Amino acid sequence: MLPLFGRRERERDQRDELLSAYLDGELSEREQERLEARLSEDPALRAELRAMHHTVSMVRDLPQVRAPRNFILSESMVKEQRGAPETRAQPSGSPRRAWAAPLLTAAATAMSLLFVIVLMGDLLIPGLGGLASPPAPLLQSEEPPQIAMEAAPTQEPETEAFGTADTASPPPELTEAPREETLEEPEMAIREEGEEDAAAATRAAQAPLGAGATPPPAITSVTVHTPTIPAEEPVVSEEELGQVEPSPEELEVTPKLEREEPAAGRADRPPVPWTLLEVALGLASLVLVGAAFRAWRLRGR
Amino acid sequence: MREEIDEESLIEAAQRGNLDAFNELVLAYQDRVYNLAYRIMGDPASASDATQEAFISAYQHIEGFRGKYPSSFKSWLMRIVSNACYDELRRRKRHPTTSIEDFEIEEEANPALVSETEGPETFAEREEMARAIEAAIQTLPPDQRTTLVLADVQGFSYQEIAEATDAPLGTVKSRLARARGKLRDYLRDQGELLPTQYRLE
Repeated sequence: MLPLFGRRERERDQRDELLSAYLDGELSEREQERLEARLSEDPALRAELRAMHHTVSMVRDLPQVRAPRNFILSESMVKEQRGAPETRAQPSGSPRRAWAAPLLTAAATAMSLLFVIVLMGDLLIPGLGGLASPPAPLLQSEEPPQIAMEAAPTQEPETEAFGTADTASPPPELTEAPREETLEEPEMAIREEGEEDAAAATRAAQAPLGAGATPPPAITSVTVHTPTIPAEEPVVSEEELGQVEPSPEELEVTPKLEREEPAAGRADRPPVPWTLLEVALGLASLVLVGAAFRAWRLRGR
Repeated sequence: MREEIDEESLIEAAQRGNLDAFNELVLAYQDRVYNLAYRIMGDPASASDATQEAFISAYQHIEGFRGKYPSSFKSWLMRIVSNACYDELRRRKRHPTTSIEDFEIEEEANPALVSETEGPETFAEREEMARAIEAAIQTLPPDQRTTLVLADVQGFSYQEIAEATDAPLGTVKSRLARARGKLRDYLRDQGELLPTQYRLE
């Protein structure tokens, strides 16, 4: 029953298709001849053709509807709705968006990277502060400390390094500083070894305590570590760099000297500007990531 | 011929970003575009929206139009309109919203349909018939509806419909036949509701 019904439907569709195309003159010559032969013999088919023709006529007789208003486009309509192709009158925001998104992404990436580096530097470098080992190339100086931190308790050379920090011979005028630092560094290192994050959090929380005792000079200590990223470091004060002009050894030790004065009266707190710098970099990274994200979205419209 | 040349130069100027030139094309085609949108969408408000959207979209993409002849520009433009309508119909199918306003719009006499040359009775019958056909067209699925309107309202050839709907000729042929067949059945079912001279046998 069902197949029969389906067959009827198909036959009906085929018939309608023939009649419809016939009315439009879209049948091939052969198809047309065959259909006309059938039409001459089949009154029901002729009735269907008339009904189809009548239907088509009624649709064709529908009045043409005129536009109720003009649909002329204004500059503002076009500007609002698109990023115009280059030959067109350009919406003011369009070209800016084109380069803003990648640029902001690059800036956000650089800032985030710097943030991570500074954060790691804060966590790890203090442990190496007393190391007498000569400063490695700047980027490398970030990595070895990490290894040293993890390995510190078990590896003799590292322990030695902490020890030798005391006896290492820094430039004569700086001898006081390393001593001050090295007293606190091993302790810091041990604390950080297990839970660096917790230590960082603790220090961040404690930072305000030292704030009063830590005047701007400590920013100099930033200048020592941040040059790890060559050109893009606006955070580093150039006067400071110029002022210090350190030899590699001095680079490592100078901040200790700078920190000596304020540190004299305080406990084993890291200098506040580290925290301030981290917060500033973190915020800047967030802002830049947000701006980059928005720029991409605007660009995609 | 001159009109064709003019149209070509308008298209080229529009492709260079000349909005005035494009607006000349808008004026030349807005009745056709609106008519197509109205027949597919079935109400003036949706038709206006679709028409405006279609012209904006056409201007935005006219640089990508590579046709050489005005007839293909017409097909290209109608394709944009029918796509806009088609998308809207599919959206409605997914999120049907029939508001009272829709019925109010339906009830209003469309001023564009008023003829100044016909007597009131003839006009009334024609209007009644037009309403019946419009209602019948609205019962068709979007692809059949678009094909039928392009063929029987806009007078497009099968080839033009194929271009406008991005479908093979065979598909156009069968969609049109199905649409006409359904319309015929619908009108046949309406029977006595239609004015005598419009009734099917």
